[in-house]
Amino acid sequence: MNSSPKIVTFCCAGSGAYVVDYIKKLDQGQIEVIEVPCAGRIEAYSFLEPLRNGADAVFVVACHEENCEHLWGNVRAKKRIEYLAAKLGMIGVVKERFAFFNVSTNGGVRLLKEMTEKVSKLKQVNL
Amino acid sequence: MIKAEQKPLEEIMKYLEPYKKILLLGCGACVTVCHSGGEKEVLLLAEAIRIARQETNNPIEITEHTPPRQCEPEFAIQVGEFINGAEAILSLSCGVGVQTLSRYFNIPVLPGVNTVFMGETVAHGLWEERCQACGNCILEKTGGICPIARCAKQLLNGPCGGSSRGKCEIKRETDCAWQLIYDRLKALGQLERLKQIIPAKNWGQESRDKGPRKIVREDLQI
Amino acid sequence: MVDNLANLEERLPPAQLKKEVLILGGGFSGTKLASFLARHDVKVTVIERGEKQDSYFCLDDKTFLRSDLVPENVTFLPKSTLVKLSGHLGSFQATITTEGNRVVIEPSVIVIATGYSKKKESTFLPPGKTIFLEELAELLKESKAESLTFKGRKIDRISFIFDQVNDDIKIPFFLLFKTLLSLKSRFSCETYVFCKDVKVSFPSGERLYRKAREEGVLFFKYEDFPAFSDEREDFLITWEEKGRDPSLSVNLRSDLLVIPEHIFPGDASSLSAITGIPLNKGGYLMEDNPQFLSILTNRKGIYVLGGCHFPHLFTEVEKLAYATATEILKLFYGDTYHPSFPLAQVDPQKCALCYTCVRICPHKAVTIEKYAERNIYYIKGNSLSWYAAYIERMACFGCGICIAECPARAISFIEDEVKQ
Repeated sequence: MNSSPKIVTFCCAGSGAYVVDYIKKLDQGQIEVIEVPCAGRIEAYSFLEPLRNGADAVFVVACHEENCEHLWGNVRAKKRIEYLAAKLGMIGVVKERFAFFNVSTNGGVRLLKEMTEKVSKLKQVNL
Repeated sequence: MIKAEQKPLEEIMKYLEPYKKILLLGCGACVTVCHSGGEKEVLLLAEAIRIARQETNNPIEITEHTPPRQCEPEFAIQVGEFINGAEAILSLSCGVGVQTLSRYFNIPVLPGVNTVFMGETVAHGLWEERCQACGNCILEKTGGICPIARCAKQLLNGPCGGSSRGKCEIKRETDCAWQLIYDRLKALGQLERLKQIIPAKNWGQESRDKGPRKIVREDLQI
Repeated sequence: MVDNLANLEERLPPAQLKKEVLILGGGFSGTKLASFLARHDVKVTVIERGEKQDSYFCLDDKTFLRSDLVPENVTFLPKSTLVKLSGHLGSFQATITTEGNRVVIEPSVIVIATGYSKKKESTFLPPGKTIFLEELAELLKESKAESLTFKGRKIDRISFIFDQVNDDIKIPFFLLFKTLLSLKSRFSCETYVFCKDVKVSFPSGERLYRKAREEGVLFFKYEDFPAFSDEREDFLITWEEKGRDPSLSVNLRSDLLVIPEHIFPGDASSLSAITGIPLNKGGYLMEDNPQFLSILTNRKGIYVLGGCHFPHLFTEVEKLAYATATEILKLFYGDTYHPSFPLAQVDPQKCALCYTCVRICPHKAVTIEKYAERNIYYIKGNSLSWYAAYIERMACFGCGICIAECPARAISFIEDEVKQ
């Protein structure tokens, strides 16, 4: 199994953008960070494009619930990614390849811990 | 409007097994409004198919296009420009669009959605069946609520008596259509209408029972 | 090339915001804000559903006007309510019914200051022996008698029962301390207060609490409501201190029970439907979201002030009124307002009129108004025109949620394409 998975991470301007330094510490290979104004902006197909271009996983980092500057952008993004994970599960894309994290602007340390756990789970799965 | 639901990805992948190049068509009308076959869904499905075929090392070439509709001859023919050697068309339109395309192209036209019903948007993301195209609308007699589409037993003259607290005995989540009709006629002050007998429908002439129907307008024909 | 009949320009010009504000509510917060804005050359309209304003307009911090006088620059409309709202920052159209007539006011900014409501509910206490806190305060003010009487009975022992309702609200405690001290200074009653916790976090709160205790008021904290029974002549309340061994149990008899008025949001839900501002869990206007300071809402140009957002104390509301005025004056500063990038726009040729963007926009920036000129798109040189969704640039926050949700992919950012 791949020991250094390529991960594409979408970060929202409200919270994710503040913890990019912590995400980059996830020393597991290549991490690409894409900033968006709100997690709700990320279209469904944008989660799949990285996978087709060779990424192993797609992560989204967004604000906590009831903390979104646009009321429900984080909730929309979460629903979208869960819908996709379920849909693609049917054709063999395992759900560990998608992950959604809620974070606050000062929550970098905890985020790094959660991401590390997710990545280790990912490594155990046969892609 | 016609409401449809995308077919499970597994099923679509089975349809596409023999092909290496396809044209994926969305439709800009009904399926766009119910989020199952518009341009957004076309883009998403194309990516998903590509990924699925990448997993099995059997790549597929997909051309994507979303015409405004597929159910007019002109729209269907225009789509021909995009075929470019495709071996099959995967169409996300309703059944009508798929069949219109089949008339004009000599390659297989595969359905990507299940056309489910003609329905109403009850809330964003929630659609319910309202019309069964019975061919002779009786909504005037039932206060605007259709017992053919909304009653599980398609009764024409009052409830079956099996409903409980306004819910159907066949499917608990469904509202009893005749309860709704009663409430509505009462609100309109037209309860007397319930006493009028609605005769059995002419299922053979008006409805689908004796085969597909036709509407002919000689005054419009060119 | 597609153009808009209202002649929208490709580039974004700065907007001229006329200095006109509409304030809903003529109570303490509304009049305070109106007075302040009027002193800064802003034209203010205050609408109030009652007959007159609840509080005084003022010329400055020291001069208060007679209640029938209204400052220059302020128009006061009594017996008026908002029935419909359309438009956006810079040009709202607020339809008001005023004394039976309909009038449309077109401010740049709207401030909702409709306050909270109170009701007298005592589902669990018999009315003959129960009085509400404000009623008691009135009774004390008017009574000149030597001893306290209620419904013909002499009252020697009073129990106050708090925190059955009004979670997190400090206002009743303010009145409670005043009433307790008034009681103790005039009559020699035994006074007991039962509450979940004593809310003292306001100026003079701690001091009043200590004074009340010094005067002999007994405070009892409870988690579960203490057992009480209605005896013939009086009440018996049994209070237990939990977690003590042996547990302490106290029986207290009293002649009168006092409970605070129940503070609730009033008609916030209909105002929420008209203005598109969501309610929070308590039913008050505007979601409890830390991204929005106590006066900001999800819509540009609309603010919530005072009790309609949360029942604050007067001292807090005063500060909020000044904060609101500052925000509004910032908008008006220099006469021009620049909408900020990115901004979303609809390609009308692709729009399927599915209403998804209208429903999903958190900032209510999208409209499909069938007969409004702005929603009619046409091709130059061609007489064809059609209707499509329209995103108001003054109202758009640039979050892009509509872009992701549009099933026809008809929406994109102007000039600032977010690259994936």
